[in-house]
Amino acid sequence: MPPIENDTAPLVRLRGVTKFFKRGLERVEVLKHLDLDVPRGDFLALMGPSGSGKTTLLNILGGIDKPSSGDVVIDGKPLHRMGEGALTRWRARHVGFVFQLYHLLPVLTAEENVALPLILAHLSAAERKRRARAALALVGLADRARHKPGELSGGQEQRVGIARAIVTDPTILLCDEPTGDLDRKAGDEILHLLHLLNSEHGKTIVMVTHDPRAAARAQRTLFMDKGVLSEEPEAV
Amino acid sequence: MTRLGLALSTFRRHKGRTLFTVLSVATAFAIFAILTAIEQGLDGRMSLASAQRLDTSTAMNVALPVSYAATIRSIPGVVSVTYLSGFGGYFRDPNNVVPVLAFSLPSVLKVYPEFAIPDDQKEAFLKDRQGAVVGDVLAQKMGWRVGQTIPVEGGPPQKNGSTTWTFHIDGIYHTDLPAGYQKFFMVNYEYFNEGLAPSPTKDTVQNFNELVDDPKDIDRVARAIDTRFMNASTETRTESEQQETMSSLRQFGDVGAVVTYIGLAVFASMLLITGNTMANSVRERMGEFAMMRALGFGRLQLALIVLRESAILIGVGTALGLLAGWGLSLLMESVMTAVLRGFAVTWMSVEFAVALAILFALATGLLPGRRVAELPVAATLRRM
Repeated sequence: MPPIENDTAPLVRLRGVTKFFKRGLERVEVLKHLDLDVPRGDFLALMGPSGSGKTTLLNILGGIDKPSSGDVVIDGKPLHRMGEGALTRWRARHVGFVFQLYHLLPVLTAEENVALPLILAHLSAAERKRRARAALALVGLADRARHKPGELSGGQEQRVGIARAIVTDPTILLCDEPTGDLDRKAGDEILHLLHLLNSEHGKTIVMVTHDPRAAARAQRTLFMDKGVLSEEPEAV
Repeated sequence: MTRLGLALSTFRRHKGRTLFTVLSVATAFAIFAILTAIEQGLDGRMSLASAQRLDTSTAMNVALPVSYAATIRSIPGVVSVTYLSGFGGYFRDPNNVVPVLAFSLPSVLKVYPEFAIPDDQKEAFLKDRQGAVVGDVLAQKMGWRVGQTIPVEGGPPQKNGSTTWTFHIDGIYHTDLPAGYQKFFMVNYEYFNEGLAPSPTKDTVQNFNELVDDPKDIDRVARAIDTRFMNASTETRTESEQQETMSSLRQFGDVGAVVTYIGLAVFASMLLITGNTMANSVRERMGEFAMMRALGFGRLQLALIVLRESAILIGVGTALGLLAGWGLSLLMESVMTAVLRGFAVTWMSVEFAVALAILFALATGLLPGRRVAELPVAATLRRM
C-alpha cells in the first residue's frame, strides 16, 4: 500500500487486520479481518465486552503489537512492514499512551514523570523542563509539579499520565480505559480534558472504554465483539 | 530527568534494601583491601629478605660450636660470616624486654649492611668491647641516648656470678628490615662470650649468617656448608634468608591461599546479595518497564538502565569499601608492619578492585537487563 500523504486521507487506515494467538494447539483469533479508518482530529471510542479484542487493536495501533496479517498504516507509515527498532522509534515520536492504571513511576515527581518520554528526544535539560511544565499546565496540574504520585489523587495521577502522553506532541493519543479506575467526578474531569485536547488542540484520540458515558464524549463510537468491529452494538 | 537520574531514582524505592546492598558490597571490598594489604605485606617481607644471605643453624635449634666459623669462612663463595648468641634480658622492669644479641664484630656490619649506623658511632662501637648499638625503635621506647650505660638484667650468669650485664650505648642504628630487627640490643660476641661463666653455652652460637658472593650460587654454598658438617658433632641446616622467611610465614599456613579463599568467599556472598537485589528490583518493576517500552524506550536502552543501576550499586559500594579498607589499613599499619613489612593498600590493588567492580556490575546487571530487554510489552501491560 503506497504512503498516504494528502490531508484528506485518514490518519489511521487498517485493512484486513487479523490477529491470532496460539494456545496450545488451538488458534485463538482475536481480531478478524478488521477494516478501520480514523480521520485526523477524530475522537473515536471503542466499546465492547472484555476479551473482545479492543486492547489488542489499541496495541496494534500503538505499534507495541503486530498484526498476524493485514495492513496498518498510520500517518502514511506502514507499521506492518516496520521492524521492531523502527517501530520503537516511531512510537516515541508519534504515539501517546494513556493507561487505565496510569503507570507512573512512584519515585519521580509529576514533572519528572511527564518528562520521562523526553529523555528519548535530543533536548536540553531546560527545554525538557519547559515542555514538561507546559504539559502539566495544560492538564491543570502546574501547582502539583513537585508532587509524587503517592501524593496525588487518582484523577490527578491520570492527568499526569495524560500530560506524559502529550508532552512529545504525538500524532495520536491511545487511551486504554482512562477512566476505568476513577470515581465518577474524576472520570468526568479526565473525559473533559480529553475532549479539550481533541476539540481545541486537534489531537486524534482512540479510546477504549467499557463506560457508555465515556464513549458519549467521543465524536463517534465503534463496537467490538469477538474481534469484529461494528458501528452499532446490536449488529455485533 | 536524565538517564542517570532515572537510574538513581530507583534506589529511593527501598532505601533500606539499597543501603544494605551497598554495605554488603562495601564490606566485601573493605575486606578485599585489607587482604591485598596483607598480600602486599607478605611480598614486602619476602622482598626484604636478602638473596645473598644464608642462615646456618640446626634442625633442633641447638647451639653450634663457634669454631665452625673458620670452616664456613673457607668455603668457596662465602664472602663473610657473622654469628650470634645472646639472651632476653630486661631493663629495670621485666616488662621492659631487651633482646641482647651478641654478634661477631665487625662482620655483622658487612653481612647486614641494612643496619645504618653513623660512622663516628660505628667507630666507637668497634673500639669499645663493652659497647652496644641499639635499634632506634628500642632506644626511643626506653628513652636511651648515646653515651648512657645500661644495666641489662636477667642474663646468663657471668664469671662473677652476676646476671646483670652492663653495656655502653655507643650508637643507635636504623634499619628498614622487619620490625623485629629494629629492636636489637647489639653487643660484641667476644665480650659476651668471655664474660660467661663456664656453661654448655660458652663458645657456642645460635646460628651463623653468611654473605654469599653471587645470589645464583646461594644453593650450592648452602649445600656445601651442610655437607662439610655432615658427620660433625652437630650437623647444620643451612637455608637462604628468603627460604627461611617463607618457612616462617608458612608456620601460619599458606597465607596467600587463605587470602585468596577468603576473598573468593566474600565476593561470592556479595555477588549473591547484589544479584538478588537486582533481580528483585527488576521483577517488581516489569510493569514500569513495559510502560517505558510503550513510551518508546528501546530494548537496549532499558537493559542499559538496569546495567547502570547495577554499576551504581557496585560502584558506590566499591568506593566506600576501598575507602574503609584504606582507613582500616592505616589504623592497622603499626601493628601489621611488625610482621608484614609493606602492609598497605596500593594503587595496584585499587585498580584491580575497580576491574573486579566492573566485572561484578556486569555479572549482576546482565541477566536482569536481558530479562527487561526481552520483556513482552503487550502481554506485560495486560497483566498489570
